[in-house]
Amino acid sequence: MDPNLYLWHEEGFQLETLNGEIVLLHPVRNIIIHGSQTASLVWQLCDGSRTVGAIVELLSAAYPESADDIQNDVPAAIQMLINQGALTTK
Amino acid sequence: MSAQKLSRREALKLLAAATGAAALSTLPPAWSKPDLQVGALPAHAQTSLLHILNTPFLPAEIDLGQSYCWDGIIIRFTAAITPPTAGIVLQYSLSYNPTGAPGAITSPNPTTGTVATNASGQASIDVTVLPASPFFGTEGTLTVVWSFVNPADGTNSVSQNHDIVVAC
Repeated sequence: MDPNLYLWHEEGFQLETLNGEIVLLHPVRNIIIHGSQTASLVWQLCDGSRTVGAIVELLSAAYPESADDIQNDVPAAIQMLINQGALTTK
Repeated sequence: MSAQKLSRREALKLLAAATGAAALSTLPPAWSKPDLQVGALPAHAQTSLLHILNTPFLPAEIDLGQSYCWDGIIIRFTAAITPPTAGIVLQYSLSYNPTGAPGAITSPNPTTGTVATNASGQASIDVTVLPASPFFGTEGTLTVVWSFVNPADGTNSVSQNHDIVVAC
């Protein structure tokens, strides 16, 4: 995944959070996505102001002991959200 | 500022601000592989796509070769829905209010009916008005009101007026 991509939330999803976890609902497209706490972090950082690389850097700084995992986990989670139509890129 | 130069605490503060966390303690204490589960909503939580009805075109006079004023005038009214979808059934209701010499709608008959949208999301009707007398013509205002037949397709209605003059 290109680390210079900017990411936005796709319109039409309703957001619910519970204990840090996230539930995204798209009633028209009949989709529900449940995300763990870390998936919730990734989703919320994809607000159009950060690139994939910037998100990875920020999370790596916050969780330095897992920096290596974050390099792979974050792009994978973003790609899944893109595949489900929940994120769009520029 | 590069995130790589941030201290952990600074990064956590940025995360808290970006995610609306009330306190750093509400952030995950350690990183774990993001888990995303995708499913389908139960039927009762689904909603159908509602369309919006509008009239993007002015009524247009249709020339079908009427030679004389007593052949009347034909006006085409067009409604459209957003997003464009074929097969959405719209109801029309027509009325003619003469302001001069009298006349009447002769087609469509009756003056209420239904028509389905085409692939562009548009539906049209051609309305014929004939003067009551071949000597005086007619003058007045044609009105059409469009609405959805099925409320699950959309709920708004629109009306459109067109002034006509058939001079003899």
